[in-house]
Amino acid sequence: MSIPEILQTIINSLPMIGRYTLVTMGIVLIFRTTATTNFAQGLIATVGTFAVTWASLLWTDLPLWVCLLMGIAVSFLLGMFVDVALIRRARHITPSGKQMITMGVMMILVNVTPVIFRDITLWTRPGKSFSTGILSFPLLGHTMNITEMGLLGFGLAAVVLAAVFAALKFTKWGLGVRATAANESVAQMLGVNTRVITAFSWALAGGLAALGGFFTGAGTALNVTLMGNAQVFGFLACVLGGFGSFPAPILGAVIIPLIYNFAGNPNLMGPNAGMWQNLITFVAVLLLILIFPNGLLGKKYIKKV
Amino acid sequence: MLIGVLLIGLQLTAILTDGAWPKSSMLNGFASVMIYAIVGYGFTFLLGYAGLASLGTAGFVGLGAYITAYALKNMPGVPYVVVLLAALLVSLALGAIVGFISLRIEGIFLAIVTLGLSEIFYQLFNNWLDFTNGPNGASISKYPIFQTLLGMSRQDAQKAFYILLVIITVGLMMLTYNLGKSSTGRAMLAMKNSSSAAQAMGISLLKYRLLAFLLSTAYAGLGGVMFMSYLRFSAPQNYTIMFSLNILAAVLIGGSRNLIGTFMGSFIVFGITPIFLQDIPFFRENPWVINVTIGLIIILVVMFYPGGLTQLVNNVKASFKKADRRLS
Repeated sequence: MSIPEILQTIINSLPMIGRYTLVTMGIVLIFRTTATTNFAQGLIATVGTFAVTWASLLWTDLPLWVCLLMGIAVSFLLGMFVDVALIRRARHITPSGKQMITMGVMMILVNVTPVIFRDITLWTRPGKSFSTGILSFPLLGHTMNITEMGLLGFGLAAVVLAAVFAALKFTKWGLGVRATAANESVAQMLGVNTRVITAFSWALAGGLAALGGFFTGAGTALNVTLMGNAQVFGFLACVLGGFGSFPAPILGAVIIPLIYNFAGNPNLMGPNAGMWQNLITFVAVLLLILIFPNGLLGKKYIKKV
Repeated sequence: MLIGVLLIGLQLTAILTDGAWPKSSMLNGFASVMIYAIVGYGFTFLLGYAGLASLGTAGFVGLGAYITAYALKNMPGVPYVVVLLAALLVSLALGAIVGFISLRIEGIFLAIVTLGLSEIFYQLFNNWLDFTNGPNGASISKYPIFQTLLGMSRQDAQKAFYILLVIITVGLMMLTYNLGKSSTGRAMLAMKNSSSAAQAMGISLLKYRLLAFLLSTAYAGLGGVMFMSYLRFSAPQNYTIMFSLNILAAVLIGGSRNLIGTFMGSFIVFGITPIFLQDIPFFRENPWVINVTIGLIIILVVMFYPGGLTQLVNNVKASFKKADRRLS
């Protein structure tokens, strides 16, 4: 591979990095506040993505960004609903039990989503997009290409994630999240309203994922499996980076798209690279996880009896 | 045992009434329930006894099915038993690998890693065209043993295979029950409740985790062989995460350690649609209703009835006894 090709492959990964970091951030927020992994995360994002296209079809003179905000609001509320209606009431249940509850939610959403959005034949309709153009720009003396939508997605993801990290660090909510993540009962005793903190984390996770879903769906056929890969890779990103802190999983979500795009490069992996791209990425990530079972940035967790 | 007698009874009635009742679609429904129940029994070792959550089931079942399809199609000289043993051996090897992984990665992380593993299998089934025939799916034309070796007609072979399936299901049920009651089962239970305490009592985590995975993947591989042999068709779409979730649901609904419960759970998850609801137009047109109900049942069982159907039955029994005592 030549240098410009390597650069171009990295640039090709940027849109995916943007989408995956958003989904991953949601998964970590939920994991840190509720100690479970949300298997419905991808579906909550998909519902939001459907809602964006649905709104733009229903009210044709509404600007797309308003529809996007509405879609994000739908996922925001859905995330909050899952926490308030189910997870909050299941606090005494083991993490695996909560995980199974989210699997149940996933099963319901998988089946209900196509039915809700069937009436306006949303099924397999391409998702809405701001632009279909391609941007060319020089980098180190070579010309690089990126889709405008991809760049926008990456840029927005970077801004939003920076805002979430700033909020975690500087706001009262962020302090509450960190306190809840450290120890829920102690946080409660110190006067943190852990219910509100947790519910808002679930809602925010939903909203972030919907933004990622919007950029995933833009221009491609919408269906319920839209976010399947993003969710599985999001989980793996969390394990790869280490669940212990907020930035570590984001690192994982940056590494995985890079592996994915290099694995799909025909000059590097042969003419059938596209076919085996997913497989190679999964194998590479699983091997990395086996080598670093506590995550790349994770600390060794010592179990106390 | 009782279930076995009932299931064979169904087939016999079908033979006696010349297929008037129960219809063959109903019998096929029961056959798939049995196949899924076999997989479910393997899963009870993981979830019910060892307390390990795995989402890799679909991959293991698929592997068993595809090995069978490949061997029966491309190596006609190889006896069925050898194919079966080969599928089991591959499953066992795989179980050993996952077992070792489970020693390094624990709890809910294990579910994520096995989910990744299952995705790898899905990609393999979809793309390894020479072995699996890709998205078009693999099929075999004849029922093994009965049709190929004994030369029975297709209908007779199907009936005979159904009875073989009942025998295997009941046999595995007894094996699982006895293993669960043995020191192995108790060691796994101890490990589930507290791995540290179990280790302190001299239970080897390595041995029993590995054993749980070996048993589970062997059952899953066998389930895959049966799937291919009886239904004679499998496509990669059969082995998505939904399959693993359905098996998990079946085991959970049944009450995670109770074998009749697991069978009933498989019946609820996999059997109700083909056996009863196929004939009701509303459910035929809206297949999502039943899946949503299953999702709801999973949530309700986990939240309010961790013992599943078994607990429900026991509670009803207990309340009857109470009422009885009050009367007397």
